[in-house]
Amino acid sequence: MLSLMLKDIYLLKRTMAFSALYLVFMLFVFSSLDSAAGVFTFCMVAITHMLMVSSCALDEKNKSDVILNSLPLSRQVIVGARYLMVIIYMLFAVAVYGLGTWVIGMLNMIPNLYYITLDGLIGAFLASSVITSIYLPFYFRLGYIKSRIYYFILFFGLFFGINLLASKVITDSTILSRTGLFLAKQNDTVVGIITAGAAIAMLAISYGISLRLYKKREF
Amino acid sequence: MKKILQVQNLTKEFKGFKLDNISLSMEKGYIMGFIGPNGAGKSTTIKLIMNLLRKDAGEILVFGKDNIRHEKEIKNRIGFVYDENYYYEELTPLQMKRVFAPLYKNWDDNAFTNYMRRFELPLNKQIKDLSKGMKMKYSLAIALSHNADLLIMDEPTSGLDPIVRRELLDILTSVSREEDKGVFFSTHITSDLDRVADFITFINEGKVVFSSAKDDILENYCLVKGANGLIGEEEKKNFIGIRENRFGFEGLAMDRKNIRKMLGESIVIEKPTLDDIMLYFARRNQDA
Repeated sequence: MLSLMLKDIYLLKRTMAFSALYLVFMLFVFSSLDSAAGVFTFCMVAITHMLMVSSCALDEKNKSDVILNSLPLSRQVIVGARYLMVIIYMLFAVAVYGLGTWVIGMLNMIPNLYYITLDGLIGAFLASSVITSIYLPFYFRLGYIKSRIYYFILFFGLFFGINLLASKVITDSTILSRTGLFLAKQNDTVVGIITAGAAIAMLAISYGISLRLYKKREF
Repeated sequence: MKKILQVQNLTKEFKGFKLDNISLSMEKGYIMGFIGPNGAGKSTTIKLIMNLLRKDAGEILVFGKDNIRHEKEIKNRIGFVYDENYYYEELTPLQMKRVFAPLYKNWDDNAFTNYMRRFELPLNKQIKDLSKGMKMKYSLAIALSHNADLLIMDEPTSGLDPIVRRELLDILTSVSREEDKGVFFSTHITSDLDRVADFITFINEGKVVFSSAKDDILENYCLVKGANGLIGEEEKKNFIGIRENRFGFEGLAMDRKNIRKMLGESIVIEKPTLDDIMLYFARRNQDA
Protein backbone atom coordinates (compact mmCIF):
# COMPACT_ATOMS: atom_id res chain seq x y z
CA MET A 1 0.00 0.00 0.00
CA LEU A 2 2.85 2.37 0.87
CA SER A 3 4.34 1.72 -2.58
CA LEU A 4 1.18 2.91 -4.30
CA MET A 5 1.11 5.97 -2.08
CA LEU A 6 4.75 6.67 -2.94
CA LYS A 7 3.84 6.36 -6.62
CA ASP A 8 1.15 9.04 -6.24
CA ILE A 9 3.55 11.36 -4.45
CA TYR A 10 6.13 10.96 -7.25
CA LEU A 11 3.44 11.59 -9.86
CA LEU A 12 1.86 14.57 -8.13
CA LYS A 13 4.91 16.48 -6.92
CA ARG A 14 4.33 19.32 -9.37
CA THR A 15 0.56 19.34 -8.92
CA MET A 16 1.07 19.59 -5.16
CA ALA A 17 3.41 22.56 -5.58
CA PHE A 18 0.92 24.16 -7.94
CA SER A 19 -1.96 23.57 -5.51
CA ALA A 20 0.01 25.36 -2.76
CA LEU A 21 0.35 28.43 -4.99
CA TYR A 22 -3.30 28.11 -5.96
CA LEU A 23 -4.26 28.14 -2.30
CA VAL A 24 -2.36 31.38 -1.61
CA PHE A 25 -4.07 32.87 -4.67
CA MET A 26 -7.49 31.80 -3.33
CA LEU A 27 -6.74 33.35 0.06
CA PHE A 28 -6.25 36.72 -1.61
CA VAL A 29 -9.21 36.36 -3.98
CA PHE A 30 -11.65 35.42 -1.20
CA SER A 31 -10.19 37.73 1.45
CA SER A 32 -13.09 40.16 1.13
CA LEU A 33 -15.73 37.49 1.84
CA ASP A 34 -17.59 37.60 5.14
CA SER A 35 -17.52 33.85 5.62
CA ALA A 36 -13.83 33.29 6.22
CA ALA A 37 -14.45 29.74 7.51
CA GLY A 38 -16.03 28.94 4.15
CA VAL A 39 -12.78 29.90 2.44
CA PHE A 40 -10.92 27.25 4.44
CA THR A 41 -13.51 24.58 3.58
CA PHE A 42 -13.42 25.58 -0.06
CA CYS A 43 -9.59 25.51 -0.16
CA MET A 44 -9.45 22.09 1.46
CA VAL A 45 -12.12 20.58 -0.79
CA ALA A 46 -10.57 22.14 -3.91
CA ILE A 47 -7.03 20.93 -3.17
CA THR A 48 -8.10 17.45 -2.10
CA HIS A 49 -10.31 17.04 -5.14
CA MET A 50 -7.73 18.46 -7.54
CA LEU A 51 -5.02 16.06 -6.32
CA MET A 52 -7.35 13.05 -6.26
CA VAL A 53 -8.64 13.69 -9.77
CA SER A 54 -5.13 14.39 -11.13
CA SER A 55 -3.94 11.08 -9.74
CA CYS A 56 -6.90 9.24 -11.28
CA ALA A 57 -6.29 10.97 -14.63
CA LEU A 58 -2.62 9.96 -14.68
CA ASP A 59 -3.52 6.36 -13.85
CA GLU A 60 -6.00 6.30 -16.70
CA LYS A 61 -3.53 7.91 -19.13
CA ASN A 62 -0.91 5.29 -18.30
CA LYS A 63 -3.49 2.42 -18.38
CA SER A 64 -2.09 1.57 -15.00
CA ASP A 65 -4.87 -0.85 -14.03
CA VAL A 66 -3.18 -3.44 -16.23
CA ILE A 67 0.15 -3.14 -14.48
CA LEU A 68 -1.25 -2.72 -10.96
CA ASN A 69 -3.37 -5.82 -11.33
CA SER A 70 -0.41 -7.80 -12.67
CA LEU A 71 1.61 -7.07 -9.52
CA PRO A 72 1.29 -9.09 -6.31
CA LEU A 73 -1.37 -6.71 -5.04
CA SER A 74 -4.96 -7.41 -4.11
CA ARG A 75 -7.72 -5.20 -5.40
CA GLN A 76 -8.47 -4.27 -1.77
CA VAL A 77 -5.02 -2.71 -1.55
CA ILE A 78 -5.36 -0.86 -4.87
CA VAL A 79 -8.70 0.65 -3.82
CA GLY A 80 -7.59 1.21 -0.21
CA ALA A 81 -4.46 3.08 -1.28
CA ARG A 82 -6.59 5.54 -3.25
CA TYR A 83 -8.73 6.32 -0.19
CA LEU A 84 -5.71 6.61 2.08
CA MET A 85 -4.10 9.01 -0.36
CA VAL A 86 -7.19 11.20 -0.12
CA ILE A 87 -6.55 11.48 3.63
CA ILE A 88 -2.93 12.43 2.81
CA TYR A 89 -4.19 15.10 0.38
CA MET A 90 -6.47 16.46 3.11
CA LEU A 91 -3.55 16.63 5.57
CA PHE A 92 -1.44 18.30 2.87
CA ALA A 93 -4.20 20.86 2.25
CA VAL A 94 -4.45 21.60 5.99
CA ALA A 95 -0.66 21.95 6.29
CA VAL A 96 -0.44 24.25 3.26
CA TYR A 97 -3.39 26.34 4.46
CA GLY A 98 -1.92 26.55 7.97
CA LEU A 99 1.48 27.56 6.65
CA GLY A 100 -0.02 29.98 4.13
CA THR A 101 -2.18 31.80 6.72
CA TRP A 102 0.70 31.88 9.19
CA VAL A 103 3.05 33.55 6.67
CA ILE A 104 0.37 35.93 5.32
CA GLY A 105 -0.70 36.74 8.89
CA MET A 106 2.87 37.55 9.89
CA LEU A 107 3.17 39.88 6.93
CA ASN A 108 -0.27 41.32 7.75
CA MET A 109 -1.33 41.20 4.12
CA ILE A 110 -4.97 40.13 4.62
CA PRO A 111 -6.91 41.68 7.51
CA ASN A 112 -9.68 39.12 8.18
CA LEU A 113 -7.69 35.92 7.76
CA TYR A 114 -9.34 32.70 8.95
CA TYR A 115 -7.01 30.53 11.01
CA ILE A 116 -7.78 26.83 11.26
CA THR A 117 -10.00 25.80 14.16
CA LEU A 118 -11.08 22.31 15.18
CA ASP A 119 -14.68 23.04 14.14
CA GLY A 120 -13.55 24.34 10.77
CA LEU A 121 -11.27 21.35 10.32
CA ILE A 122 -14.04 18.85 11.01
CA GLY A 123 -16.44 20.70 8.69
CA ALA A 124 -13.87 20.73 5.89
CA PHE A 125 -13.11 17.04 6.51
CA LEU A 126 -16.83 16.27 6.14
CA ALA A 127 -17.12 18.29 2.92
CA SER A 128 -14.02 16.65 1.38
CA SER A 129 -15.26 13.22 2.44
CA VAL A 130 -18.66 13.78 0.80
CA ILE A 131 -17.04 14.72 -2.52
CA THR A 132 -14.56 11.83 -2.35
CA SER A 133 -17.20 9.30 -1.32
CA ILE A 134 -19.34 10.22 -4.31
CA TYR A 135 -16.54 10.42 -6.86
CA LEU A 136 -14.41 7.34 -6.23
CA PRO A 137 -17.06 4.62 -6.74
CA PHE A 138 -17.76 6.16 -10.17
CA TYR A 139 -14.04 6.15 -10.93
CA PHE A 140 -13.54 2.54 -9.88
CA ARG A 141 -16.53 1.40 -11.91
CA LEU A 142 -16.08 3.44 -15.06
CA GLY A 143 -12.50 4.70 -15.19
CA TYR A 144 -11.52 8.37 -15.26
CA ILE A 145 -13.07 9.69 -18.48
CA LYS A 146 -16.52 8.13 -18.20
CA SER A 147 -16.67 8.73 -14.46
CA ARG A 148 -16.27 12.51 -14.96
CA ILE A 149 -19.46 12.68 -17.01
CA TYR A 150 -21.62 10.68 -14.60
CA TYR A 151 -20.05 12.37 -11.60
CA PHE A 152 -20.85 15.86 -12.88
CA ILE A 153 -24.43 14.85 -13.61
CA LEU A 154 -24.84 13.37 -10.14
CA PHE A 155 -22.95 16.13 -8.36
CA PHE A 156 -24.98 18.96 -9.86
CA GLY A 157 -28.13 16.88 -9.58
CA LEU A 158 -27.47 16.50 -5.88
CA PHE A 159 -26.52 20.16 -5.52
CA PHE A 160 -29.72 21.45 -7.06
CA GLY A 161 -31.73 18.59 -5.60
CA ILE A 162 -30.64 19.49 -2.10
CA ASN A 163 -31.50 23.14 -2.69
CA LEU A 164 -34.91 22.09 -3.92
CA LEU A 165 -35.36 19.80 -0.94
CA ALA A 166 -34.21 22.51 1.43
CA SER A 167 -36.73 24.99 0.07
CA LYS A 168 -39.75 22.69 -0.28
CA VAL A 169 -39.45 19.47 1.66
CA ILE A 170 -37.11 19.89 4.61
CA THR A 171 -39.40 22.37 6.32
CA ASP A 172 -42.02 19.62 6.52
CA SER A 173 -39.67 16.76 7.33
CA THR A 174 -39.97 15.68 10.93
CA ILE A 175 -36.84 13.47 10.82
CA LEU A 176 -34.61 16.23 9.51
CA SER A 177 -36.04 18.89 11.75
CA ARG A 178 -35.66 16.54 14.73
CA THR A 179 -32.05 15.87 13.74
CA GLY A 180 -31.46 19.60 13.49
CA LEU A 181 -32.99 20.17 16.90
CA PHE A 182 -30.98 17.30 18.38
CA LEU A 183 -27.70 18.72 17.05
CA ALA A 184 -28.58 22.22 18.21
CA LYS A 185 -28.93 20.94 21.77
CA GLN A 186 -25.50 19.25 21.80
CA ASN A 187 -22.26 20.88 22.78
CA ASP A 188 -19.49 21.48 20.19
CA THR A 189 -17.54 18.35 21.13
CA VAL A 190 -20.50 16.03 20.52
CA VAL A 191 -21.37 17.77 17.24
CA GLY A 192 -17.71 17.48 16.19
CA ILE A 193 -17.59 13.76 17.00
CA ILE A 194 -20.86 13.12 15.15
CA THR A 195 -19.66 15.09 12.11
CA ALA A 196 -16.27 13.35 11.99
CA GLY A 197 -17.97 9.98 12.54
CA ALA A 198 -20.38 10.68 9.67
CA ALA A 199 -17.44 11.55 7.39
CA ILE A 200 -15.53 8.38 8.31
CA ALA A 201 -18.68 6.25 7.89
CA MET A 202 -19.28 7.77 4.47
CA LEU A 203 -15.70 7.04 3.37
CA ALA A 204 -15.97 3.47 4.69
CA ILE A 205 -19.25 2.83 2.83
CA SER A 206 -17.82 4.41 -0.30
CA TYR A 207 -14.70 2.18 -0.03
CA GLY A 208 -16.92 -0.90 0.23
CA ILE A 209 -18.89 0.12 -2.86
CA SER A 210 -15.72 0.99 -4.81
CA LEU A 211 -14.12 -2.34 -3.95
CA ARG A 212 -17.18 -4.28 -4.98
CA LEU A 213 -17.31 -2.44 -8.29
CA TYR A 214 -13.57 -2.70 -8.93
CA LYS A 215 -13.55 -6.44 -8.29
CA LYS A 216 -15.93 -6.82 -11.24
CA ARG A 217 -13.76 -4.76 -13.59
CA GLU A 218 -11.85 -6.37 -16.47
CA PHE A 219 -8.77 -4.89 -18.09
CA MET B 1 8.30 -32.95 -14.23
CA LYS B 2 6.18 -30.51 -12.28
CA LYS B 3 3.89 -28.35 -14.37
CA ILE B 4 4.24 -24.63 -13.74
CA LEU B 5 1.28 -23.66 -15.90
CA GLN B 6 -1.87 -25.67 -16.57
CA VAL B 7 -4.89 -24.33 -18.38
CA GLN B 8 -7.88 -26.66 -18.54
CA ASN B 9 -11.01 -26.11 -20.62
CA LEU B 10 -10.72 -22.35 -20.34
CA THR B 11 -13.63 -20.44 -21.82
CA LYS B 12 -14.32 -16.75 -22.15
CA GLU B 13 -16.92 -15.20 -24.36
CA PHE B 14 -17.11 -11.65 -25.64
CA LYS B 15 -19.43 -10.16 -28.19
CA GLY B 16 -18.14 -11.53 -31.49
CA PHE B 17 -15.37 -13.71 -30.04
CA LYS B 18 -15.13 -16.83 -27.93
CA LEU B 19 -12.08 -18.38 -26.35
CA ASP B 20 -13.39 -21.88 -26.64
CA ASN B 21 -12.49 -24.53 -24.10
CA ILE B 22 -8.72 -24.24 -24.46
CA SER B 23 -6.20 -26.44 -22.65
CA LEU B 24 -2.42 -26.30 -22.46
CA SER B 25 0.37 -26.97 -19.99
CA MET B 26 4.06 -26.25 -19.61
CA GLU B 27 6.98 -27.27 -17.44
CA LYS B 28 9.80 -25.41 -15.75
CA GLY B 29 12.96 -24.75 -17.75
CA TYR B 30 11.28 -24.53 -21.15
CA ILE B 31 10.08 -21.85 -23.51
CA MET B 32 6.56 -22.26 -24.80
CA GLY B 33 5.66 -20.24 -27.86
CA PHE B 34 2.02 -19.26 -27.95
CA ILE B 35 1.30 -18.50 -31.57
CA GLY B 36 -1.68 -17.53 -33.63
CA PRO B 37 -2.85 -14.79 -35.98
CA ASN B 38 -4.00 -11.41 -34.67
CA GLY B 39 -7.29 -11.78 -32.84
CA ALA B 40 -6.82 -15.52 -32.26
CA GLY B 41 -7.14 -15.19 -28.46
CA LYS B 42 -3.52 -15.00 -27.31
CA SER B 43 -3.83 -11.79 -25.28
CA THR B 44 -7.18 -12.92 -23.88
CA THR B 45 -5.58 -16.13 -22.62
CA ILE B 46 -2.72 -14.22 -21.01
CA LYS B 47 -5.10 -11.74 -19.41
CA LEU B 48 -7.11 -14.64 -17.99
CA ILE B 49 -3.93 -16.22 -16.57
CA MET B 50 -3.04 -12.85 -14.97
CA ASN B 51 -6.62 -12.44 -13.68
CA LEU B 52 -7.11 -9.24 -15.66
CA LEU B 53 -10.18 -10.84 -17.20
CA ARG B 54 -12.70 -13.09 -15.47
CA LYS B 55 -13.11 -16.53 -16.97
CA ASP B 56 -16.52 -17.96 -17.84
CA ALA B 57 -15.42 -21.55 -17.26
CA GLY B 58 -12.35 -23.73 -16.84
CA GLU B 59 -9.36 -23.86 -14.56
CA ILE B 60 -6.01 -22.09 -14.48
CA LEU B 61 -3.28 -23.51 -12.25
CA VAL B 62 0.03 -21.72 -11.88
CA PHE B 63 2.69 -23.62 -9.92
CA GLY B 64 -0.11 -26.10 -9.23
CA LYS B 65 -2.28 -23.47 -7.52
CA ASP B 66 -5.48 -21.76 -8.56
CA ASN B 67 -4.60 -18.41 -10.13
CA ILE B 68 -7.36 -16.51 -8.30
CA ARG B 69 -7.33 -18.12 -4.86
CA HIS B 70 -3.53 -17.84 -4.62
CA GLU B 71 -3.24 -14.72 -6.76
CA LYS B 72 -0.76 -12.77 -4.61
CA GLU B 73 1.53 -15.74 -4.00
CA ILE B 74 1.51 -16.65 -7.69
CA LYS B 75 2.15 -13.11 -8.91
CA ASN B 76 5.17 -12.90 -6.64
CA ARG B 77 6.67 -15.67 -8.79
CA ILE B 78 5.59 -14.33 -12.20
CA GLY B 79 7.51 -11.82 -14.29
CA PHE B 80 5.45 -10.17 -17.01
CA VAL B 81 6.23 -8.23 -20.16
CA TYR B 82 3.35 -6.88 -22.22
CA ASP B 83 3.12 -5.70 -25.79
CA GLU B 84 3.10 -2.05 -24.84
CA ASN B 85 4.43 0.09 -22.05
CA TYR B 86 2.08 0.28 -19.07
CA TYR B 87 4.58 1.92 -16.73
CA TYR B 88 4.01 5.48 -15.58
CA GLU B 89 5.57 7.55 -18.33
CA GLU B 90 6.10 10.51 -16.03
CA LEU B 91 8.34 8.53 -13.67
CA THR B 92 11.96 7.52 -14.14
CA PRO B 93 13.04 3.84 -14.18
CA LEU B 94 14.57 4.36 -10.73
CA GLN B 95 11.37 5.84 -9.26
CA MET B 96 9.31 3.06 -10.83
CA LYS B 97 11.67 0.49 -9.35
CA ARG B 98 11.27 2.07 -5.89
CA VAL B 99 7.51 1.64 -6.24
CA PHE B 100 7.67 -1.97 -7.44
CA ALA B 101 10.54 -3.39 -5.39
CA PRO B 102 8.75 -3.49 -1.98
CA LEU B 103 5.79 -5.30 -3.55
CA TYR B 104 7.86 -8.39 -4.38
CA LYS B 105 8.98 -10.76 -1.62
CA ASN B 106 12.16 -11.77 -3.45
CA TRP B 107 13.17 -8.51 -5.06
CA ASP B 108 16.88 -8.55 -5.93
CA ASP B 109 18.33 -5.04 -6.20
CA ASN B 110 21.68 -6.33 -7.48
CA ALA B 111 19.98 -8.22 -10.30
CA PHE B 112 18.05 -5.05 -11.22
CA THR B 113 21.22 -2.94 -11.25
CA ASN B 114 23.01 -5.56 -13.37
CA TYR B 115 20.19 -5.77 -15.92
CA MET B 116 19.93 -1.97 -16.14
CA ARG B 117 23.67 -1.85 -16.82
CA ARG B 118 23.58 -4.76 -19.26
CA PHE B 119 20.70 -3.22 -21.21
CA GLU B 120 22.36 0.23 -21.04
CA LEU B 121 19.23 1.82 -19.62
CA PRO B 122 19.28 5.23 -17.93
CA LEU B 123 17.99 5.35 -14.36
CA ASN B 124 16.98 8.98 -14.22
CA LYS B 125 15.35 9.69 -17.56
CA GLN B 126 11.55 9.79 -17.72
CA ILE B 127 10.11 6.56 -19.13
CA LYS B 128 8.26 8.53 -21.83
CA ASP B 129 11.65 9.56 -23.25
CA LEU B 130 12.85 5.97 -23.68
CA SER B 131 12.62 4.26 -27.08
CA LYS B 132 10.22 1.34 -27.59
CA GLY B 133 13.12 -1.10 -27.39
CA MET B 134 14.38 0.48 -24.17
CA LYS B 135 10.91 0.36 -22.62
CA MET B 136 10.65 -3.33 -23.47
CA LYS B 137 14.10 -3.98 -21.99
CA TYR B 138 13.08 -2.07 -18.87
CA SER B 139 9.97 -4.29 -18.54
CA LEU B 140 12.26 -7.28 -18.90
CA ALA B 141 14.68 -5.94 -16.26
CA ILE B 142 11.76 -5.60 -13.79
CA ALA B 143 10.45 -9.05 -14.74
CA LEU B 144 13.85 -10.65 -14.15
CA SER B 145 14.69 -8.87 -10.89
CA HIS B 146 12.45 -10.68 -8.44
CA ASN B 147 13.50 -14.29 -8.98
CA ALA B 148 10.36 -15.14 -10.93
CA ASP B 149 9.93 -18.80 -11.87
CA LEU B 150 7.64 -18.06 -14.80
CA LEU B 151 7.90 -15.27 -17.36
CA ILE B 152 4.69 -14.40 -19.17
CA MET B 153 5.20 -12.29 -22.25
CA ASP B 154 2.51 -10.96 -24.54
CA GLU B 155 3.90 -10.06 -27.97
CA PRO B 156 7.11 -8.61 -26.49
CA THR B 157 8.86 -8.45 -29.87
CA SER B 158 6.17 -6.62 -31.85
CA GLY B 159 7.46 -3.31 -33.15
CA LEU B 160 11.07 -3.97 -32.17
CA ASP B 161 13.97 -3.75 -34.59
CA PRO B 162 15.75 -7.04 -35.50
CA ILE B 163 18.77 -6.32 -33.28
CA VAL B 164 16.73 -5.75 -30.12
CA ARG B 165 14.51 -8.72 -31.01
CA ARG B 166 17.50 -10.99 -31.34
CA GLU B 167 18.92 -9.69 -28.06
CA LEU B 168 15.62 -10.38 -26.29
CA LEU B 169 15.47 -13.92 -27.67
CA ASP B 170 19.04 -14.60 -26.51
CA ILE B 171 18.15 -13.40 -23.01
CA LEU B 172 15.06 -15.60 -22.90
CA THR B 173 17.08 -18.62 -23.98
CA SER B 174 19.68 -18.06 -21.28
CA VAL B 175 16.98 -17.41 -18.65
CA SER B 176 15.21 -20.68 -19.41
CA ARG B 177 18.34 -22.83 -19.89
CA GLU B 178 20.65 -21.46 -17.22
CA GLU B 179 18.19 -20.25 -14.59
CA ASP B 180 15.63 -23.02 -15.05
CA LYS B 181 12.69 -20.66 -15.49
CA GLY B 182 9.64 -21.20 -17.65
CA VAL B 183 8.86 -18.70 -20.41
CA PHE B 184 5.37 -18.42 -21.88
CA PHE B 185 5.79 -16.24 -24.93
CA SER B 186 2.95 -15.14 -27.19
CA THR B 187 3.70 -13.82 -30.64
CA HIS B 188 2.39 -13.73 -34.16
CA ILE B 189 5.96 -13.43 -35.47
CA THR B 190 6.68 -17.15 -35.55
CA SER B 191 10.25 -16.77 -36.83
CA ASP B 192 11.11 -15.58 -33.28
CA LEU B 193 10.17 -19.01 -32.00
CA ASP B 194 11.87 -21.11 -34.68
CA ARG B 195 15.12 -20.43 -32.81
CA VAL B 196 14.17 -20.45 -29.15
CA ALA B 197 10.94 -22.32 -28.38
CA ASP B 198 10.83 -25.84 -26.97
CA PHE B 199 7.05 -26.18 -27.16
CA ILE B 200 4.47 -24.55 -29.34
CA THR B 201 0.80 -23.96 -28.69
CA PHE B 202 -1.07 -22.78 -31.74
CA ILE B 203 -4.36 -21.01 -31.22
CA ASN B 204 -6.70 -19.96 -33.99
CA GLU B 205 -10.14 -18.34 -33.73
CA GLY B 206 -10.24 -19.04 -29.99
CA LYS B 207 -9.40 -22.75 -30.25
CA VAL B 208 -6.15 -24.60 -29.64
CA VAL B 209 -5.11 -26.27 -32.89
CA PHE B 210 -2.16 -28.11 -31.35
CA SER B 211 0.10 -27.92 -28.31
CA SER B 212 3.26 -30.03 -28.34
CA ALA B 213 7.05 -30.06 -28.67
CA LYS B 214 8.29 -27.82 -31.48
CA ASP B 215 10.50 -30.53 -32.98
CA ASP B 216 7.58 -32.99 -33.07
CA ILE B 217 5.43 -30.42 -34.82
CA LEU B 218 8.06 -29.67 -37.43
CA GLU B 219 8.65 -33.41 -37.93
CA ASN B 220 4.96 -34.29 -38.13
CA TYR B 221 4.01 -31.71 -40.71
CA CYS B 222 5.50 -31.45 -44.16
CA LEU B 223 5.41 -28.91 -46.95
CA VAL B 224 4.68 -30.53 -50.30
CA LYS B 225 5.47 -28.86 -53.63
CA GLY B 226 4.71 -30.13 -57.09
CA ALA B 227 3.46 -29.42 -60.58
CA ASN B 228 -0.15 -28.72 -61.42
CA GLY B 229 -2.17 -31.75 -62.39
CA LEU B 230 -0.52 -34.05 -59.85
CA ILE B 231 -3.33 -33.65 -57.36
CA GLY B 232 -7.02 -34.03 -57.83
CA GLU B 233 -9.91 -33.48 -55.44
CA GLU B 234 -9.35 -36.87 -53.77
CA GLU B 235 -5.66 -36.16 -53.06
CA LYS B 236 -6.46 -32.70 -51.74
CA LYS B 237 -8.33 -34.28 -48.83
CA ASN B 238 -4.96 -35.38 -47.41
CA PHE B 239 -3.79 -31.78 -47.11
CA ILE B 240 -4.42 -29.29 -44.34
CA GLY B 241 -4.25 -26.51 -46.91
CA ILE B 242 -3.16 -26.01 -50.49
CA ARG B 243 -2.08 -22.99 -52.52
CA GLU B 244 -2.19 -23.27 -56.27
CA ASN B 245 -0.97 -21.01 -59.04
CA ARG B 246 -0.13 -21.47 -62.71
CA PHE B 247 3.34 -22.84 -61.88
CA GLY B 248 2.25 -25.56 -59.49
CA PHE B 249 0.96 -26.20 -56.00
CA GLU B 250 2.25 -26.03 -52.44
CA GLY B 251 0.45 -27.60 -49.51
CA LEU B 252 0.79 -28.57 -45.89
CA ALA B 253 0.18 -32.18 -44.97
CA MET B 254 0.71 -34.45 -42.00
CA ASP B 255 1.59 -37.93 -43.13
CA ARG B 256 4.85 -37.65 -45.09
CA LYS B 257 4.99 -41.37 -46.01
CA ASN B 258 1.42 -41.47 -47.22
CA ILE B 259 1.93 -38.36 -49.36
CA ARG B 260 5.07 -39.84 -50.90
CA LYS B 261 3.25 -43.10 -51.59
CA MET B 262 0.30 -41.29 -53.09
CA LEU B 263 2.16 -38.76 -55.26
CA GLY B 264 5.43 -40.57 -55.97
CA GLU B 265 8.85 -39.04 -56.59
CA SER B 266 7.61 -36.14 -58.71
CA ILE B 267 6.96 -33.98 -55.65
CA VAL B 268 9.33 -32.17 -53.29
CA ILE B 269 8.77 -32.61 -49.56
CA GLU B 270 10.28 -30.02 -47.22
CA LYS B 271 10.28 -29.28 -43.52
CA PRO B 272 7.80 -26.46 -42.90
CA THR B 273 8.44 -23.39 -40.76
CA LEU B 274 6.03 -22.42 -38.00
CA ASP B 275 4.93 -19.62 -40.29
CA ASP B 276 3.93 -22.16 -42.97
CA ILE B 277 1.97 -24.21 -40.45
CA MET B 278 0.18 -21.17 -39.05
CA LEU B 279 -0.61 -19.86 -42.52
CA TYR B 280 -2.17 -23.09 -43.80
CA PHE B 281 -4.19 -23.71 -40.65
CA ALA B 282 -5.48 -20.15 -40.62
CA ARG B 283 -6.37 -20.40 -44.32
CA ARG B 284 -8.17 -23.72 -43.81
CA ASN B 285 -10.36 -22.12 -41.18
CA GLN B 286 -11.11 -19.16 -43.44
CA ASP B 287 -12.07 -21.48 -46.28
CA ALA B 288 -14.20 -23.74 -44.08
